Amino acid sequence: MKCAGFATVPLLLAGCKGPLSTLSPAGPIAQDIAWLWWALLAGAALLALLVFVLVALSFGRPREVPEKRWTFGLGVWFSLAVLTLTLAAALWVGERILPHGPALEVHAHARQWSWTFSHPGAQGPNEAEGVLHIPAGQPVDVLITSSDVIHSFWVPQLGGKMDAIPGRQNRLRIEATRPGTYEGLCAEFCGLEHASMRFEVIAHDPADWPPASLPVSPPLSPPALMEAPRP
Amino acid sequence: MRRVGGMGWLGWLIAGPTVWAAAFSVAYGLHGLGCELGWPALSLGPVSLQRVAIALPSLAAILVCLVLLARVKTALGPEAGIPRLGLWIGLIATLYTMAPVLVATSCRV
Repeated sequence: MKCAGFATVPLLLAGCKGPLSTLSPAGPIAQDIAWLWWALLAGAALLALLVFVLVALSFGRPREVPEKRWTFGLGVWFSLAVLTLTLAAALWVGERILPHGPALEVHAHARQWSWTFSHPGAQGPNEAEGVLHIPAGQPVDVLITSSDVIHSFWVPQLGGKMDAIPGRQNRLRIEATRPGTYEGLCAEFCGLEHASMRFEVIAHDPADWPPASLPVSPPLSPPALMEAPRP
Repeated sequence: MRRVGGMGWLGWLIAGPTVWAAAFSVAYGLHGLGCELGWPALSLGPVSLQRVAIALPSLAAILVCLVLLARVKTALGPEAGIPRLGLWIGLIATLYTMAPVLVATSCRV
């Protein structure tokens, strides 16, 4: 039984790697988010340890328990200290990943059940279905809109997630350190085909940006722009 | 004087967390409203209208908790122990949840 328990550990750890893992970051913003995840895990582990110790002690012989140490020292102040540190970490990371300062802007428009991306090209704006092209090594702001229901833009290796809300335009900053292909998905249940609402982000070498090989097309169609009026 | 377990005593007991919950809900609502109406761009002296609007419910809650703390002993006599603790919890919870409001970015760009 014990062996079976240990055997599941590699299986569980396997989930930490891969193209859709937050714990396998490929850019500074995703790195910050992964760091926060580990900090929260450490905080949760400390609190869980305290509870396990209390449970273990409860199986022993009845004894005098110093209230000052257990109720106030560990129960109140220790827990409060852990929560305060994790809250501070979350605020710090939250501020760092906000879109402060200039960045290249691209558009992501969601609908059931696909994504249309628009970004600068060598001969003007390009529009692409299911593929977002960005330069590596620099911050990119994705301006996110939707034409039907609420979707959510998420590339776990490059940044946080952001809802695509009909009638609004939301902004999310992402960044890839190195050129490569990264996977993205809709992170908000949006109907029957939600699970297949995937896309790719191709980060290009900055020297080759904007890529000349992409087809030139007009920017987002008028109906799409009309549905996303408010910044 | 109210006896332990009575409705009045129960009211004192939950006063602190209730005041905190009310302030939190109002601040939460004003936060969304302020972002939509552009309050972060409107200055009220050294701070924005947005920050003032979110902080005010918490400051009111702190004031209410302090007033109730001053009166709890008179109202409940020897049964004031646990209700006083509840009021301290409400006061500290309000301070704890209000603190990030004073430093964090309020609305996304």
